[in-house]
Amino acid sequence: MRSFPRISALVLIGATVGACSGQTGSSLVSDPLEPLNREIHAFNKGVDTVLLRPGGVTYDAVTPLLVKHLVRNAVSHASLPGVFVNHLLQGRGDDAATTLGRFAVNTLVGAGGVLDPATEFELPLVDTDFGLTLATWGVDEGPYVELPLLGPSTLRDAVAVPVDMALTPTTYAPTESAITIVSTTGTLLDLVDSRNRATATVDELLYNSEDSYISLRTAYIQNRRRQVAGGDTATDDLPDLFGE
Amino acid sequence: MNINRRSLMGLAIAGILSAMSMPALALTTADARAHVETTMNELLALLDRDAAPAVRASELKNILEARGNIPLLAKFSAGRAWREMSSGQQDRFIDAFSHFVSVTYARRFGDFNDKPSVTIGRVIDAGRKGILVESPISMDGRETLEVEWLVSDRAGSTQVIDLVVEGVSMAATQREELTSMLERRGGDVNALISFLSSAKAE
Repeated sequence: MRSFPRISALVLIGATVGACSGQTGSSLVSDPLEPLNREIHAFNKGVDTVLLRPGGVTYDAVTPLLVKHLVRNAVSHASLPGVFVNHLLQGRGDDAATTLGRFAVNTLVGAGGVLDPATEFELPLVDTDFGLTLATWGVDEGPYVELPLLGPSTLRDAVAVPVDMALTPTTYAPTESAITIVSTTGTLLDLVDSRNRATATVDELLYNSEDSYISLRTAYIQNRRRQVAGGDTATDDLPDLFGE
Repeated sequence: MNINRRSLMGLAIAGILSAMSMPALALTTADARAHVETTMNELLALLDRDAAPAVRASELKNILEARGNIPLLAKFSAGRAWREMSSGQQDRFIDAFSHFVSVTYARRFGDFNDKPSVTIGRVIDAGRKGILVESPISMDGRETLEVEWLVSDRAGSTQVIDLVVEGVSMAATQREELTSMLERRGGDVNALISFLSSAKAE
């Protein structure tokens, strides 16, 4: 399992490895691909500036709160089968049962998943993904990568993305079917909505800092490690201010 | 049961030695919790007032300097560059850093439009690093913000030495960002100091 990230790194980035040098001296995360990552970051930031950010503002202005909730619920609902499988793979039977119950309740009495009565029945969303599954299996996070459009990630989490897509049932609908059109539209709207809800944080990281690449990397890595630690700040990861 | 004098003596010596080898960690979880409550109340009072950004930043600076250990945070954030600074530069760096973080956090603070409700959650002993006090912040229509304070008395008095929001440590973040800022200025500490000092509260 240990050699897995390294092999994947070679597959994923191929010949670019040799070309990278002159990285910022980070004490937090390994970033051998920094020059490439920075180029992808510049692209992502451009997409945010011209599409995502204005899209979020517009969507927020023209869309009733109820509709936003329905879209958010539906998108979250479609991810539940994958979340369920990941809970099982992580050996978390309780969370898997909660997720299964949530899926059943919202499908049957939540109008197929656009409503969320399950949360009222104490069947909350316990989100997870295949990157966290790999982490519980002992796979190291590997170097930091920024993915085109998907944003900050690590090698482990980047490798996990296609697995989570494969675990989402709507992936298998025919390309031009109504399911694909609805689910793609919903996912895009939800993305824009998430961007808008996190506007203060994202603006601060991307537009109010001197080096948005470093700000985003630093925030992402720490937040992700917290998720890996099961939603608690891992005391091992806390800086030892007196230890210098 | 026969406890002889030698073993008693041994126990006493072991007790004294172990007490001596521990750094003066008199800080209890109750102390840490009380310190965070005091700090939190001061911050909420500041948030409640309708102050101009510059005023808010300077009052936040007063709170941070009184309740936290800004020189320690500045030193940690400077990373390897700290040792290369002259003592005069170190002093000016601490002042500039204090100004910079106050302006930065006052701006983020401004995003809390509604009156947030704060509770104290778990209090976790993180050993040498300090005591971690959870204070989740909830606001209407938003997901709860997970905030934690790292409290320590290793510098002599009870102080906040780090603030962790959603797993993101202020100390670790400032260290990463300042390292990058210094590199962008070719390692010129004076240029970094003047940049930090000139941060505007908008």
